[in-house]
Amino acid sequence: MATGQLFSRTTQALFYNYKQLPIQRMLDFDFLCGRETPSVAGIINPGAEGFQKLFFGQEEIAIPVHSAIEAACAAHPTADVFINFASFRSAAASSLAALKQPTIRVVAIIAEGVPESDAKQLIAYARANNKVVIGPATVGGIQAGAFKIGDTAGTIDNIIHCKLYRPGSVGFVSKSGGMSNEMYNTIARVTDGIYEGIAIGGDVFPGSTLSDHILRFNNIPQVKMMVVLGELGGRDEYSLVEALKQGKVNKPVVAWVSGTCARLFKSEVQFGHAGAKSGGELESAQAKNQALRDAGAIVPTSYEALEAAIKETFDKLAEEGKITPVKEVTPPQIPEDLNTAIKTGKVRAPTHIISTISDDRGEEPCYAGVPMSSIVEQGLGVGDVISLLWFKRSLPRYCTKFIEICIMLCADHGPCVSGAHNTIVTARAGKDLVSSLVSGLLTIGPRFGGAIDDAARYFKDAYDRNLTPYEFVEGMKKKGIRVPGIGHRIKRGDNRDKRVELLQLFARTNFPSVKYMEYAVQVETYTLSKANNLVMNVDGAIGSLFLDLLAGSGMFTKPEIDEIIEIGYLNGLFVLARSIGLIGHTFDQKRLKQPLYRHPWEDVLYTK
Amino acid sequence: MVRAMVRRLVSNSLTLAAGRSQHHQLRRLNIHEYQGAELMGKYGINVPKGVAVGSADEIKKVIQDVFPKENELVVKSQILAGGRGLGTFKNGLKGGVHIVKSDEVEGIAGKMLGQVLVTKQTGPQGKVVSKVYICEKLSLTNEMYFAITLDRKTAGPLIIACSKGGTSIEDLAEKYPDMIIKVPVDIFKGITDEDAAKVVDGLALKSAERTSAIEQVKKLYKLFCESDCTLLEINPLAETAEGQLVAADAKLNFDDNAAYRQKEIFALRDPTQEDPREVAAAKADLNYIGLDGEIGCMVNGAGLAMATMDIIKLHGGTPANFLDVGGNASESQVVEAFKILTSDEKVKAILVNIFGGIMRCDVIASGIVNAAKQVSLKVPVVVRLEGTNVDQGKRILKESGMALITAEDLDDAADKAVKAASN
Repeated sequence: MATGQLFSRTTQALFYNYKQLPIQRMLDFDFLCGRETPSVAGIINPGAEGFQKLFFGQEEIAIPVHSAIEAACAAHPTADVFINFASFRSAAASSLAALKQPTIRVVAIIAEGVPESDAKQLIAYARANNKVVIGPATVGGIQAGAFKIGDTAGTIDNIIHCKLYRPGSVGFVSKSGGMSNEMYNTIARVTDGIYEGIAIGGDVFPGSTLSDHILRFNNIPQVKMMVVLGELGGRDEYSLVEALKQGKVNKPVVAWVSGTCARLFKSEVQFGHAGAKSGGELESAQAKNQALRDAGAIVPTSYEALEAAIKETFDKLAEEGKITPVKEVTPPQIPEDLNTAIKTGKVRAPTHIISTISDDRGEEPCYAGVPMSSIVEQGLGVGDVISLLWFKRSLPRYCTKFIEICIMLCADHGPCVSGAHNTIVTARAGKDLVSSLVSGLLTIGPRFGGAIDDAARYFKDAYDRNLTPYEFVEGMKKKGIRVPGIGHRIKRGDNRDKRVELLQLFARTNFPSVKYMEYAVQVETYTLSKANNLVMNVDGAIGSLFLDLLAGSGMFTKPEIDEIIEIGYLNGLFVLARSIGLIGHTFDQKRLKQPLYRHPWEDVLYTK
Repeated sequence: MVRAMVRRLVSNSLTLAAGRSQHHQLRRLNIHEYQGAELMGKYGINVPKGVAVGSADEIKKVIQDVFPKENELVVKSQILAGGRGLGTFKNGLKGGVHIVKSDEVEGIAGKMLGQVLVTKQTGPQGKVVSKVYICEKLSLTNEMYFAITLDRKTAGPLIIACSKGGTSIEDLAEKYPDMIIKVPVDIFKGITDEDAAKVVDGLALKSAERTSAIEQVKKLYKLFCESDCTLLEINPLAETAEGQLVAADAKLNFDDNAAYRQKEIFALRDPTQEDPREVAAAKADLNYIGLDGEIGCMVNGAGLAMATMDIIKLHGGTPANFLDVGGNASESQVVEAFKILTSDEKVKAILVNIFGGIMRCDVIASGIVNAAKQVSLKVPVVVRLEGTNVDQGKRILKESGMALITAEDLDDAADKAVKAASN
């Protein structure tokens, strides 16, 4: 260890295990310091590759993501700090891999709870190869105005408050990360601020020690004094005592070792940090404080007196003219995140999408305000779901039942109709389910399946204008339009469509009024008098009965009914229903392993 | 060197203790003496023959099966605390460890089982004895010292051996500095035959066979590595009259950080022997140690918790606990923490000291307010908040209408808490 500065304003790191917040905090710090390059060169996220978008000031930047440490190091040879946010289970293995990379010089390990024998391996390797390990169990460290590891020093407000965006004259090292936050505040209050601060972590075997960093600070000319915050347990403070005694440290050291209260307890107490356990008198806070004092460090009488001791030491250095006055700068404003700004009511932004039928933001998704679970609990059906999602209201059960019958009746109509045919051909071409389904759906329109809406539209118009069936049918004829919902390929006046009969029976039994249907029946009576195949078909039945549903349920206003017909809701019923059949045809063809379909020559009239 | 002094409790007893348990949790894993002996036995390490028994009815059969030829046996109460030999049962029986004639074992075990043993380490409430460990009585001809620990200087395992043993390593180091040898083991290569031979030569065996002793050392090292021990101390490592090398008394510390990969060992945890406050805290993933003072502390960050306790002491108070809610505590954790603090009858005042770095003061504040709604606060609460969202936090506390004592800084907070506790 020893030697001097670890970081600079151009230091770049590789960040292991993507964590958005700490990286963004690092980049915000960079911006605050006026760095030209972001301090995170690349992210290593095992199993993922690509880019991660983050903010560098107001600009959005894309930081490369690598899946392996080796690849990241090869791609970013100038990044020499490895910030490891892996869990305590995998932190050791990934750290060792990083230490083995020639480009990596410093490894910071955040995880708390790395097994000690694993930590020992890291330390042994780092020592043999002249590399620096900070942690495990640490928040990291910071060089004011230059480089910051992860979450060190907390929020941007705290960093600004502690003036960490520009270098001061104090080198600080502690075991605890939380206490370093406290101390950055304290030091900013009574001195010109931090030059560099390191939290070595609370483990029994930290990768680098208090004395390692103090000796390093001693070699940094800009550091004029040092502050050390130790803890009971371990012997690290004695290495510092030795260094002081041997005259290796020639700058004032203010020190305090926490844990003096341990003596109050008869049993051995471990104070949170794994290493903070008194192993005998020598490792007690009192003994260490005394030893540091005897070796020439400035040791106050209590933690509270530490601030005064730091102030006194700094003021003395200032009086002696040893402190170069710090040039104060005003850090730039970090643009606030839109989400935060909206939350605090500072800005408003227009939305790009509006939606009224469902909401997935709460405890569970809601359909038109009704939680999914309550739909299931009430034993409702798919008709009720359609009622909520299409009509945005809970229709009476007879209505939703009617919707369900419509879907059941329109689900399929054999393989020969154009939709099913298309689906079969597509499925046999080896296409996937969605392609096969939509190729069939694409045939739905004015000639195939689209008649329900038209039937409803024309019947409604005729009925509302009080046209007699004669006036209506003849009027249509004059315009050259076939009456939608009337006419069948096979069915005749003496052989009615069973589906139509079922629908009519259901409506007569359950609907409060069937006036539109009765009108359609009158129209049918008239058309049958013209030709025996001009019977009411399913489209006509559904179209007219839906008008009765809308008008008779009392759940819709007149303009709403007009809108529903205008938009073409009823066609939706057909699309939905027929999708069931088309999906069935796709599966059927796949199951039968049918080869590519080719239409036979004989079936084509080749002509000029 | 060795992390903690060996606490010699009773002759030939196995004392097993471990440091921190899982991630962020502070419970110490203690395993019973007989469990440690079983673990060593599994690795082929010679240990005194012994059987753990849970009811007096089994004893006759055990003696018949295991100790048919023994005249005298050692009967040891199994509790997770030291000082058993000098302890007293609540039923009046003196001593948690007895050497008795074989036919007296049943009688004495019957007086121990299901009874509460009070030692200087258990506190006045004592601990219940649900098992006794019946062991052969060994006649030892030579006592030595053996330990493996992780060493700072060599950054790897270090074997320490001494041809004298039976007293603490500090004593040995003072009396026989020349007899202590240290053999560092390369952490990447593991123990070699040369390493083990060096240790055995340092032990200067009197009667035991050298080759088998080398094997014993290698087995001990294997146990140390494979069980993620931080300390394995055999004191004494003894030679018996029969010329066998035996681990007569052992202390095993396990690395709690390795709990995730030492499921079998950590499954030996016996929650009936633990402080119920600590068990509750562990459930809420809180860093908690119960102490016996009168000021309950809730702090974020271990370092700050330590400083807080120091200052309480400086002002003449005694902390009732160590409690670190961590850097990312949720509101529900704060509520749990409050429940644990208020359930402790010794607590006369509560001191909340939060420095919000990453932790937000408003989260802590709403936690306190919610906790107050759920538990009846009978003691004064002193709060010092500083850092992120401190104004929001203070506003939440103020608007809650709770009778809180607010403090300006740590010193002020400790002062107010000590005063509040003594009123």
